[in-house]
Amino acid sequence: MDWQTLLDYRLNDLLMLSPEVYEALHQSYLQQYAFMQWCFWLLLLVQVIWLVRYPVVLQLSLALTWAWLAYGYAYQTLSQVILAGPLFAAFLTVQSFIYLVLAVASKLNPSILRSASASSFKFGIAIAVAGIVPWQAIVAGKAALSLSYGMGILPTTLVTIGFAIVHCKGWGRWLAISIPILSSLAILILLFGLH
Amino acid sequence: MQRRTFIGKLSCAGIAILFNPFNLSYSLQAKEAIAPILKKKIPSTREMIPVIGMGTWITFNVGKIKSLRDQRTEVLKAFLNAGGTVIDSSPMYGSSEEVLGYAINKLAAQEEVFAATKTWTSDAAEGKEQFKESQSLWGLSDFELQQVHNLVNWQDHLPFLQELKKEGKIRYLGITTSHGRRHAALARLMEQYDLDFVQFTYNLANRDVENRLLPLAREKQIAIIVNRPFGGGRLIRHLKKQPLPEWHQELACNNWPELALKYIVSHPAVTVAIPATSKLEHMRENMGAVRGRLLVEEERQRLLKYVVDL
Repeated sequence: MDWQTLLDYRLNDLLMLSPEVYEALHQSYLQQYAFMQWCFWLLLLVQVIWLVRYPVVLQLSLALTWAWLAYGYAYQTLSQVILAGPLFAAFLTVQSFIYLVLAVASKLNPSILRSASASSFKFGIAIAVAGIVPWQAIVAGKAALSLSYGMGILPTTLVTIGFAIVHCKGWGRWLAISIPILSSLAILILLFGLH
Repeated sequence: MQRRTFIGKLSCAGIAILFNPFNLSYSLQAKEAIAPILKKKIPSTREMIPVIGMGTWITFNVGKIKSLRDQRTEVLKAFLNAGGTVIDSSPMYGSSEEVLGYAINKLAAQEEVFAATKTWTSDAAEGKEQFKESQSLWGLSDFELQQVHNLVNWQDHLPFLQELKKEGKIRYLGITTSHGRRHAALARLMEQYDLDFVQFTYNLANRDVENRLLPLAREKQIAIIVNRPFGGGRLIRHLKKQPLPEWHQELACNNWPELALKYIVSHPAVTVAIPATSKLEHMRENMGAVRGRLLVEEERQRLLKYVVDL
């Protein structure tokens, strides 16, 4: 890949794909992994009701979720049409490792965790639950883009931020949400370029 | 290759009509096989190629989605049935080369295509690997044309392409640019190196190359591939909202794509234009420009004035 020549192109030139292909790709992804969508809905329910009391296990489950996004979404799906897909997948894999590290660090030193106030606990959980809504499909009016928690970057970022509000503080919170926020920005730029 | 393809199509059409005289698709094939196709010479060998080719930027980047791959195969089939041969792609275009390979293989059209691809990397060794990968993705052992994409590290890639040409793995070599960029650098290379082809952007809305690059290519006997003939789609979308000139049939053109393409390929220096499309109906419109006649300079200027005044 030649990065220097990338500067010669405009954003929509660089995307190299059409909205038609983007939608068809997501439709195919959702059809192929429909059972994963059910699994993630169930996981979110378990996370909100039960795992939220066990931050270490919650962080391990988030590590698994980001690992799936890295492999199933970025590497297997986006990489089919986006040259930077493998790089994006590597970026999301780092996030998965960060959650593994946070889980180990939390176990060894529980003081890095936060005891959220009742109001911020409710706020964090509300944000996390909002991850089940396929916002992208609603905004675009396209059922093919019904990505919810675990299947797409934007809803998973919402859930991640929600749980970070509940449990993380200081540098731990930034570690937990930086890559998800940057990845969401990348997806938003992609959508902006396409439409 | 052209004669073989022509005779083959003619025979198939004749047999088809004999056994199924009322089948419209066979009749269409027969008509396509018999009607003359506009061709121009590649100056370095005098080989004739059709004036309309096919680009694959964005349009063939459909990943592994089978329904879209099959639809693009139909687009390629329409292109080949209409007499097209020149297909241009690049490793930069995502899965386009792989999808092309799928379509070419499915149509068993390896012998019908004039395959043109590019080297797009700043690393010399990777350039060699890229060529092998292109061979594998297209499913072809040889390419007609290999180009340095966007002048990237031409210093290392040109000698490699010359080597490939000597070995017979490619028949022509070239250099590309697009979007009207890097014209001064391209002109210097055209003056200094023995190139068979150059590729750049030229259309009714972007005519920068008329001053320097088109005359220079003519002088140096270099074939020209014109990319973005519809300005990345923006120009043709705008034109299609406008009324056709009343005199469009005098130019043997039926629609805006034909007019826009005929303007380009009728320039004496231009060899082939490569519009890209993912839609069958657009492919049919585009390929209308491969038939009829070329415009004379007076007609080109008349068309240009009409478009500028819109």
